[in-house]
Amino acid sequence: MERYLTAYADGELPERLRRRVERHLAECEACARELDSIRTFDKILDGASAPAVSGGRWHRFKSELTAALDRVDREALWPKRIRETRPVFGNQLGRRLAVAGACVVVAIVALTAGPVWFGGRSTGSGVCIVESIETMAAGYTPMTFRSNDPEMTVIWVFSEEVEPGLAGEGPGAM
Amino acid sequence: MRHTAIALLIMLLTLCLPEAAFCDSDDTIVIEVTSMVASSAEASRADAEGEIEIDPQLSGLRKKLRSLFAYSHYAFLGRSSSQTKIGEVCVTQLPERFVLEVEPQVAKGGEGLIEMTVALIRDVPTAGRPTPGRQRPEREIVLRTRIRLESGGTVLLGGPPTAAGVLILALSARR
Repeated sequence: MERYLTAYADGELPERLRRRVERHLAECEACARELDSIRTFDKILDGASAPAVSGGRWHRFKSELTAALDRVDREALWPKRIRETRPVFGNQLGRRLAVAGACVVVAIVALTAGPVWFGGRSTGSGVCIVESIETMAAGYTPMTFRSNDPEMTVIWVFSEEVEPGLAGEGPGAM
Repeated sequence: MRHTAIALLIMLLTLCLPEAAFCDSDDTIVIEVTSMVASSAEASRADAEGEIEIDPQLSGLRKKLRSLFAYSHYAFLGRSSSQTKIGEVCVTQLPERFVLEVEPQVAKGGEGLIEMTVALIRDVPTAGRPTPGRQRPEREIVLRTRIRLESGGTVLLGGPPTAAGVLILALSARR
């Protein structure tokens, strides 16, 4: 109820809330004293004359006040846990752990993908380029087949002995 | 700054590691040959059941064999692995007097491809009584091909008839 006292003193509360505050003030001495303090302060301010302030000083004060209010607004919008978060690599141990972690990640990537980059191991695609094919035995006909699924090159010599008439059609389902 | 430099050095060394780790030397090439015999002797029964009999030792080639060929039975004959170098012939003895000769060549181009000459040869015994000059059987080159194979890749060679069926070879090469 204390937070409504200033607005109550200024006559800014709606009727229903104003009556609640009044009921509370009748029972709570502390809030009644607080209300007296507020009214006394208001009277002092009403009686005081505004000090003379130069244009430049007033402008500087206004700028500083605006900046301070903006800062308060920004901090109020951020969740507390974010505001209190420290930089991840803010200490020496954190930095070392980060470097070690990065090295481990790079090592894993290099061990798996590195050989492929360097052409040292297969990607499993089984690329095979047949540059020439021939037979020097009677009754054989050499041919090359390529399947896409699975990717595989087949070099086949058709034998009249086993597969008469199959040449050109491929071994079975090819 | 010093830690960053050390980290970069470690990264560079790690990136260079695979090339050194997986290559015995620049010239060494490992040739692997898996031989099998395919047949359709029991095709009617297998077709009826919708099954293909593939030797468990050929399980790594199961998918390829099923999709590439229509044979119903695949029997494992053997598997060999040997190291060779560019210009050296790698000889693999196969059943029924077949011999596979693989000779890696100096690659003309193609990063990561292994160029080689492959010859499937059948030793044909000479007729008649052996004489000192003709003790070695005649060699019948059933297939000779020149290929460029990706390191670690596999190419299938096959077709020659044997007593048990059709000979099929899975040839792999890697640096």
